[in-house]
Amino acid sequence: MTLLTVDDLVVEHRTPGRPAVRAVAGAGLTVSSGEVVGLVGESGCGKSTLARAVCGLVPATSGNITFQGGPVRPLGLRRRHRSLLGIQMVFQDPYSSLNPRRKIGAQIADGLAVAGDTTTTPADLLERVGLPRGFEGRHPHEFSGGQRQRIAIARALAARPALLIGDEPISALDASAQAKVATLMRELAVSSGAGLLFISHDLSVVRIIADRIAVMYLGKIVETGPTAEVWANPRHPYTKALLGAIPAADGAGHLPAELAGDVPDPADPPGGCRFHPRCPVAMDVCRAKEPDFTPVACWLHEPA
Amino acid sequence: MSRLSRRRRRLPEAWRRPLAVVGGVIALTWLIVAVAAPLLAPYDPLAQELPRLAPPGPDHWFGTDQLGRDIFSRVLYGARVSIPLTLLLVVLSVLIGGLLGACAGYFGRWVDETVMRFADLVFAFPTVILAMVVAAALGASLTNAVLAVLVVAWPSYARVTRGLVMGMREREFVLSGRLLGFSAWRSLRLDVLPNVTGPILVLATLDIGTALLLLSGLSFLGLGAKPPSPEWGAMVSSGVEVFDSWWVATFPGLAILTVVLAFNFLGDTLRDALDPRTARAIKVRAL
Repeated sequence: MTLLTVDDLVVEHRTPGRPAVRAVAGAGLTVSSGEVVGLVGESGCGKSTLARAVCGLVPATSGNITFQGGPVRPLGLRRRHRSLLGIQMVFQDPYSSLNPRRKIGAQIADGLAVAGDTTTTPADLLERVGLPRGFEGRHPHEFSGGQRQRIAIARALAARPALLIGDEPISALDASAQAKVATLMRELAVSSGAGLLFISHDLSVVRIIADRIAVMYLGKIVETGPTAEVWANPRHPYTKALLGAIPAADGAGHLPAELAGDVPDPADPPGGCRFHPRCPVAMDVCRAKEPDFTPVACWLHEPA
Repeated sequence: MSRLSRRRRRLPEAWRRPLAVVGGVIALTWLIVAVAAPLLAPYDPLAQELPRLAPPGPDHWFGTDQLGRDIFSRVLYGARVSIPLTLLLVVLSVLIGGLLGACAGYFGRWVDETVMRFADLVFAFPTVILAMVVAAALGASLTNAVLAVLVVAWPSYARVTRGLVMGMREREFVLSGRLLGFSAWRSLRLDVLPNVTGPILVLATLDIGTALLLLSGLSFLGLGAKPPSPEWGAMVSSGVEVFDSWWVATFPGLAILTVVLAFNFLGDTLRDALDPRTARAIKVRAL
């Protein structure tokens, strides 16, 4: 069952006196119940903005976001609409994702209150994310970054979300904690039947936990497909470049191939295919027309 | 190493500096005086039965005024008038200014515009003049003087709180709370306000001196406490009439000076203690 549908989403950041920045420029995406979708891309490609739009934290300029059949309305000053409480998010920075002045038990209890759950206690949730039961009376400063991220996951899960979003939840953690926290998120989301949209720039982690991968470049999804398929047979030149940039621990001493150039300014994207200035196989058509099709937005893979 | 860590546990570095200790001792002394004035004062502060304008001596440490009242007793009783009113004043300014500023910063738009334009309006006038105008318009009484100072004191809290709240409302834990269905009010109360209290507390402590000065100033100008009341500003004012008897104005003036200084020292200390950067600078200098 499709849980979340993002269709042709555009999000612009407007600053007076400057050209509008199209952080998300017509992206489409779906997440089903029990499915883990990994959204990958370089910094500044609009992944986080997409996630925030799905939560209603930034308003969509155009396009549709549908969650469980209803539209996602942006969060204003009113309370979040009941129908949207099923979308919960784990943020990037573990040092600012918990209120430093409140006990973690109370913060997890906020999540339980959303679900109307009176039988589960914060201690149960701490246990589920792999922390000792007795910690609920402590304050966030007593925990490490990885532990804090587990607490943030516990709080989000306490609300029994149908869709959990992780906005680079592991990028601020050290390498030993990254894989653990990521697999924990997957296990907990899948076992509760929720969908998980996992945003990361770390392909090797996404490969472990995601069922499906969506590759984002400069505000657009350029390739989607089952993880194994994309991994084994990347089709978009950008996906190939991303995969090629992963260092191989084979002892051969080869440095990974680097993609030339930088991400262009989203306020002034290149005409035609957004990737053509950096693309090793760019053709004339790439400079002229934007490839607007799925699952691979590349003229080399134009559907018949 | 162990000696150092034991020392650190006792009192933070900033609180062990001489100025902090002096400020703390003076402020504490005045608080005790305010509470225990009836026990400490040798004479009735209002009784006009002593020789007039007696200079300071063993019987009357601070002398007597032109109506034959013991100035030492009056200064002690004055602490009961000025200090509680000043503290009340600052607390009310923090509450009113803080709440308005928090709403302005959190809700933005027209709330922000309305509150901050009123604040700007107050800032546009010289503080003392505006307080005088308000006090004069309300009528001369101590309550009205407090109200007048309140009118000029709240905007600085509103401004500071607004800025802090605006910085805090985009923090991820505040957003998380909103995603969990917190109303704006609950978010403000649970997530935002508890995390901005530090700087506001410093401002409030630094402001106690200013508020006392302003309140005494209004009384000095005849816009505050009425004559028999042993209010320090009013006492200085009556001392000006008998300039040759220097003690009549000097001692209540010294009382104002010491309280203002003490709370300024405490405010500085609190600021240094709460700001890790200055705290570290002090430590480096102390070593």
